Amino acid sequence: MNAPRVPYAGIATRAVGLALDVLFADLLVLVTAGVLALVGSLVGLDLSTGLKVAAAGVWFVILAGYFVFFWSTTGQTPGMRLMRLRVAGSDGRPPNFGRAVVRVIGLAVSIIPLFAGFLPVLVDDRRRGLLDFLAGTVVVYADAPFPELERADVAVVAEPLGPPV
Amino acid sequence: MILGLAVAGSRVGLATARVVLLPARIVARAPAMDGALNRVAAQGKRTRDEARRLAEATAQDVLASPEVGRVIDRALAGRLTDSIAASLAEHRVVERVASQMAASGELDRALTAALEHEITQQLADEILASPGFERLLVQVIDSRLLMQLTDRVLLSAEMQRMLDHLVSSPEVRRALAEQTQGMAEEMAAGVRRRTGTIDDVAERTVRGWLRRPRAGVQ
Repeated sequence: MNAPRVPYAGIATRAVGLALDVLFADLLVLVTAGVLALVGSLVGLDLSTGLKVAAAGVWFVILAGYFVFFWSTTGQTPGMRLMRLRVAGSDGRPPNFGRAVVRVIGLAVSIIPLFAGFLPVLVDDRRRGLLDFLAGTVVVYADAPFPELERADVAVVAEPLGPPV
Repeated sequence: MILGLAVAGSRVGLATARVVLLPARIVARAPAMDGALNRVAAQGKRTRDEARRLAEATAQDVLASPEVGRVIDRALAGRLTDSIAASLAEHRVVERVASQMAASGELDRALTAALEHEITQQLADEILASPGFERLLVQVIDSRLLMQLTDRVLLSAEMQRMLDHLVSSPEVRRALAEQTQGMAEEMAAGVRRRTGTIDDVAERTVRGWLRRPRAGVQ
């Protein structure tokens, strides 16, 4: 007998989606960096330490911008689209810009301690990670109907950032 | 009146002829005469068959003789062949015959009949099964001529035009895109299935360690 399908995405599916997104975002960064390096070599620009730090900062901004842009517009990054996942707030809509920014910060915080921030996904009933707790979001299968949340869950989710737009 | 006389005259003539031929008709219908006539017919048939066999054997002897070969050789070596070829070309005989055959459908029927004939099929099977044909095929494949021919075909303007047409064809592009998209979609679906299974197994395992079953799942 098969168990009923859980509408929330599990840790492995999310990990593959995240890996694909990092790959895509890094490709974007690589192409941009390649073009800038070519222009720099043509004008004889030598990368000083300050410029290297700035480049790293640009890399982080592009990476964060990639996630914020896709989460706040369609609720799906390209990697999540391939895995048929989407991020949603308590009302089932994509998170707004502020929540998306908080979610990116939560993503970084979850990755830094050896991805420990994703461990709650294994035990939480709605398969939420640290970034989801911080931003008040859930990751659901895109082809499944959005699950009805209990009133208490909505209140808990909505409290930190106010009602979703 | 003249017409009536003519009709009456013709009737009289017919009756007279019947009366005159009556003895001959009686003889011909007699049973004794029937057997004699059959014997004569059989003898005639045998004689005709014998004459045909004789004529055929004579023709074979004549055609097999070296004299005929020499005569044909001399004829072909002479100006006769050139004259015939020139006449054929001048009067466009081959084209006329071919066009007539093609228009009448005879050519198609003849070709179809020849191809569907049992002997043709048998002949084709024998040729394909023969080691000699295989050797010939290998020689052709290994020959430089084939390589040159292939190069010529590949470098020809027609081939380039065909390739351009194929590459720029919307149907081909659509088919390629659909196939690629289908393969990618199939691969992604496979990955999704596997990761979904891993999700459930990992969650069940960790929840088992913590003795915390999923809500609503027995």
